[in-house]
Amino acid sequence: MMDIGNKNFIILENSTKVDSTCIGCPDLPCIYFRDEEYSPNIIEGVPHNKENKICIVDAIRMDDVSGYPGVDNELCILCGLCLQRCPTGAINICFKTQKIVLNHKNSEIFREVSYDKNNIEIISTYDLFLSLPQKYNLKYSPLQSMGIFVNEIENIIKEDSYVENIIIRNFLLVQDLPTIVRVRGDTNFRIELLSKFNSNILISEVDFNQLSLLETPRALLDNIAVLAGRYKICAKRIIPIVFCLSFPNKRTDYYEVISDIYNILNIQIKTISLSLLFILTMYKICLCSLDIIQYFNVNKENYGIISDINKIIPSLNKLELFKYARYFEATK
Amino acid sequence: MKILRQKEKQSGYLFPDDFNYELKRVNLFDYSFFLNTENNTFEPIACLCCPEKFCMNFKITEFPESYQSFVPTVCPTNAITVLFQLEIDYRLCIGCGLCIIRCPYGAIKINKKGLPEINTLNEKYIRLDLDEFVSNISKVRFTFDINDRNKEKFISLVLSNIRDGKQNTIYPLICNLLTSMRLPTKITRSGDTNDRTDAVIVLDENSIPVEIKSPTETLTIDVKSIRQAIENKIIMLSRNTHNTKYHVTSLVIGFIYPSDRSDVSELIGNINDVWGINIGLFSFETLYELLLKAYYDRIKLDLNKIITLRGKLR
Repeated sequence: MMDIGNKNFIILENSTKVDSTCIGCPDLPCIYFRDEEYSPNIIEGVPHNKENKICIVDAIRMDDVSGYPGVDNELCILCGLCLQRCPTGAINICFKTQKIVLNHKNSEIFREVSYDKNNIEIISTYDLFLSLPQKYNLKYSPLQSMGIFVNEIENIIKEDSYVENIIIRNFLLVQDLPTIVRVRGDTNFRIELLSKFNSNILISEVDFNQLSLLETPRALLDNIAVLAGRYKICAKRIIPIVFCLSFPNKRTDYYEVISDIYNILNIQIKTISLSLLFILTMYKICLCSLDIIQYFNVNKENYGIISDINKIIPSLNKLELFKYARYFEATK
Repeated sequence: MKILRQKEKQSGYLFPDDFNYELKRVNLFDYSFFLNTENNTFEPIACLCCPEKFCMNFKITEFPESYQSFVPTVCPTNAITVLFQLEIDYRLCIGCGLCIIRCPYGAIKINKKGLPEINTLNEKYIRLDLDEFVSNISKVRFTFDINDRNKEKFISLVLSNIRDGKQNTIYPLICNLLTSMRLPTKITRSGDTNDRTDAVIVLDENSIPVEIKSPTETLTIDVKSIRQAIENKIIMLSRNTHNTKYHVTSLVIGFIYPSDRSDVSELIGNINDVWGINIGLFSFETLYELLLKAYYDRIKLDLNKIITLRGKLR
C-alpha cells in the first residue's frame, strides 16, 4: 500500500506491516532508465539522445557512505519521477516541508542475498516487487508540489531550453511509454520526441516558451509529413501532441490554427501541459491507459484541459485547481 | 532632324504619311533609340511624361474588380515622382529596376552603379511632341532585341542592390514584381491575425498565399518557410479569407533556391504525398527572369503552371 505524503508501508506474506524501505535494486531504477526504455527501436536508425538518468538535475545519487541512494534537497526540483520509479515506495514527499525523503532504515530485511550462480536460482527481490499489484492512494493534494516543480522548471529553462525536451521524455518513460528524444542541437532530424503508444506512434513538440508555442502546430505537420513520406508510417497511426507549460492567451491564434488543421486535414493536435503530466504521474495514471482520442482536444471551442482532468481524476480539489488555472486552460 | 523645343512644334514634320519609325531597345544600360529608317538616323528617346506614367502606376482597369482597390504604385519605396518632370529621389531608391522595365519607351536606363537614370528633357536630344507621338503610336514599331548576357548583367546588378533589403522594402518589391506580371498581389495588413500570410495573389477562384523571405531573414529558402507555407494554405482554406481551391499552390519566395537534394525539396515531396498539398518556390532571380521575358520577349506567363506549382518552376 502506498500513500504519497504519509509513510509508506509494505505488507509481507505473514501479514506484518513494515515501513517501506530501499531494497537495494541492482540496476538502480530510481536513478537510471533501462536501455530498452530510453533507446527503443521505434524507427530504424534514428539518432537520439542516450542520457539515461531520471533526474535532470542530478539530485539523486548513490551515496558511497550509506551504500544507498540519497536525494540532495538543495538540487531537487520536486518532479516526483524518482518517487514513481521506486518499487517499494521508499521515496516519498514530506508534505509539510515539500522535500523528498528516501527511507532505508529497515533495509537489512530486504538486502539482495548473495548466491552461487551455478547451483541456486534466486528470483531478485526487485522483480518480485515489480510483479506485485500496487494499490495507490493519494492522501494529500499534489497541487502544491506541482506549483513548486513548475516554478523550478521555469527557472531552469531560462538557462537551457533543451531541458524541456528531456523532462517530457522522462515523464513519458516513467509512464511506460518507450520514447526517444532528439539529440541536443541536432538540426537534421526535426522530430523532437517519438514514443511508442500502444499500436500507435506519438510525436511531440515541446515548447515552454509562450511566444514560440504558436510555431509548434506547423512543426508537427512537418513531422507527420516526414514520418509518412520518408518512413512510410500510416498517418492515421500518428498522434501529434504539443507539450506546453501554461496555456497561451485566447488572442494568440493558437487555438484557431489547431481548429483549422482539424477542419482541413482531419488531424487533431492535442495539447497537454507539464502540470497535467505531473498530476497524472502522481496518481499513477498512464497516458496510454486513457482513451486518448477523446481527451486533450484543445481548439477554438475548448481552451483547456480542465474538463478532461475532472473526468480523469474526479477527486482532485477543484478550488485548489483554480489557483493554478493557467496551467490547465487559457485564462485570458 | 531638327531639334524641337517643347513650345515650338512644326506639326506634320515628325510624322509624314509614309515614314518608317522604330523605337528600338537593345540594352538596358542605354536608352531606347528612336530610329528613322528613312534617313538612317537615330536618337536616344527622352522621357515623354506620358499620361499613363507607366514607371509610377499600374493601370487599374487591367485588374479584376476585387483587386482594384489594392493596386500599388510601381515603385516599392515611392522614390519616383513627378513635378514638372519625372524625378527619382535617390535617397529612397533601392535599385530594384522596376521602373526601368516598366517604361515602354525605354526612357529609363540602369547605370553602372545599378541605379535608374531617366532621360529628361535635354537640349541635346529631341523631344517628341507628345500629342503627335501618342496619336501616331501605331505607326511606330517597338523592337526589343536585348541579348541574354545583357539581361543577366541587369538581373545580377539589381539582385546585389536588394540583397540587404529588409521586410519593409522587400515585401512591396515582391508584391509589385508579381503584379507587373499580371499576378495581382497584395500585402496583408500586419495586425490582421485572421489573415496570417505575408501576401496573397488575388485570383478570383484560385487565390495563392505567398510567404516572402527577405534576404536578411534567410538567404536560402529553408524548412521554416515551408512550414509557414503549409500553415498559410490551411488557414486560407479553413477561414475562407480568399477564394481558393485545395490543389492551388502555396508559394514561398526567397532569395536563393534550396538545393534539389536538400531537406526542403524532400519535405515538399512528402507534403504532396501525404496530403496532396502543393508548395511552390520562386527565387528572386526567377521572378526577374520571368518579368523580362514578359516585357521584352512578349512571352506570357503560363498561369496554369503557376497555380498548381510544386517546387521550382521548370
